Amino acid sequence: MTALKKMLKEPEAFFPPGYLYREERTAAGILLGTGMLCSLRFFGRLHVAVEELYYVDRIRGRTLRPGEVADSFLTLAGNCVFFFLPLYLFLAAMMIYHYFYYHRETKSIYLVRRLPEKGFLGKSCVQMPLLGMGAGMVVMIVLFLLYYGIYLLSIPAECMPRLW
Amino acid sequence: MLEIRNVSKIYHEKTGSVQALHDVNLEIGQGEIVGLFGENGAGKTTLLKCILGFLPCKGEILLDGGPIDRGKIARLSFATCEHSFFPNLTPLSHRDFYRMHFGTFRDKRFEALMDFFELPMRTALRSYSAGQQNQFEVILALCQGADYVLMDEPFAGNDVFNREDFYKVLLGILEPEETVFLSTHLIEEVERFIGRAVLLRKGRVAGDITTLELEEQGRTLIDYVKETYGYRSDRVNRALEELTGER
Repeated sequence: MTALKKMLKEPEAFFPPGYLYREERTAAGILLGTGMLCSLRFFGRLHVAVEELYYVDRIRGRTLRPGEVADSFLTLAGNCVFFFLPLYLFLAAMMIYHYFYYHRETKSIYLVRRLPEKGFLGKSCVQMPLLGMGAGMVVMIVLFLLYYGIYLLSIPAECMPRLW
Repeated sequence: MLEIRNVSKIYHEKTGSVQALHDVNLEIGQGEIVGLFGENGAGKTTLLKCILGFLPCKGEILLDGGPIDRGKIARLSFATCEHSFFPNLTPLSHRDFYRMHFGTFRDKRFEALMDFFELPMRTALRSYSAGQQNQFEVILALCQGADYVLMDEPFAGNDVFNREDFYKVLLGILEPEETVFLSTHLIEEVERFIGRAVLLRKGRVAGDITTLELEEQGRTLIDYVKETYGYRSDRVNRALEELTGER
């Protein structure tokens, strides 16, 4: 919790010193948002899957097809993972970019390489991208849980597949 | 004591191997001000980078009898003409950063030097002039609280008055246990400020003499350098004569 507070209050402490992080943060935010938006396609697929479970009877109206089994949750939502892939690739590239930051304009690499603190260089390069990846993962898991809840509510129990 | 024992360094390049340092042996005692001289490519920068552990090399580099590990690295500071500060940070942020990482940071000296050179504290270093950036680079190296201050052409780009000021300030503020190892081409300029001169030629130590010895011999440093390098003063005249066809 303290780390989270610090991250929100002093995000610069998680980047290489003097690194202009705002553009990177914005880009990561856009990629995360895009991933989340794209994952909304789940609802379209869920809608189609639910509709396929029913047929319209002139007398009884919308009726469940007997013996019909719905597509599994993973079939409907599994590809949502790929929508977050650009975010992870971007953050992985940022780790390398942070390292080369120490060679741009000046050779601040000479300073960070002679700091008594062990692992400062590596930490400053990877910690924010790793935190970003972690945040992306949490968002993805929360979305999956939410979508799974909606899936459970939308699919009638008798049409539920045995396995995902 | 900084001991450099049989240090050799070979750069492997696509076009072949270049031996930058050949069995360099040096001992630099605490409190010495040593000038490191040599032509371009003599190995001065390579030697400093080997001492700091930036380049792997053969041989041994010891500080007070032991290798320069993470526990000892803070005893060395480095000012380079390539600059090692963060260009987007202000001097104030650098002070905080150094304070956080080097427990021996000299606050008073930092403020005094910033004041003396009239460098703005709250301006990002990228906005400084090249000369001011050099000054700041040296100020950081002097204020880290290191016992050994290594400098690699730190005043390239500064005007002569500015450099003169710096040498004087340097001599004035250094404490007896502080050591300076200064690589420079400005031989005549630093002669009055150093206590010893080390000459490198093609990666080898070609000369090592104290200014006191030079004084006793009635020679200047530039004479010593010329002799050691076998500099032929008539070379230019002969070349000009040949070029112009004059006899």
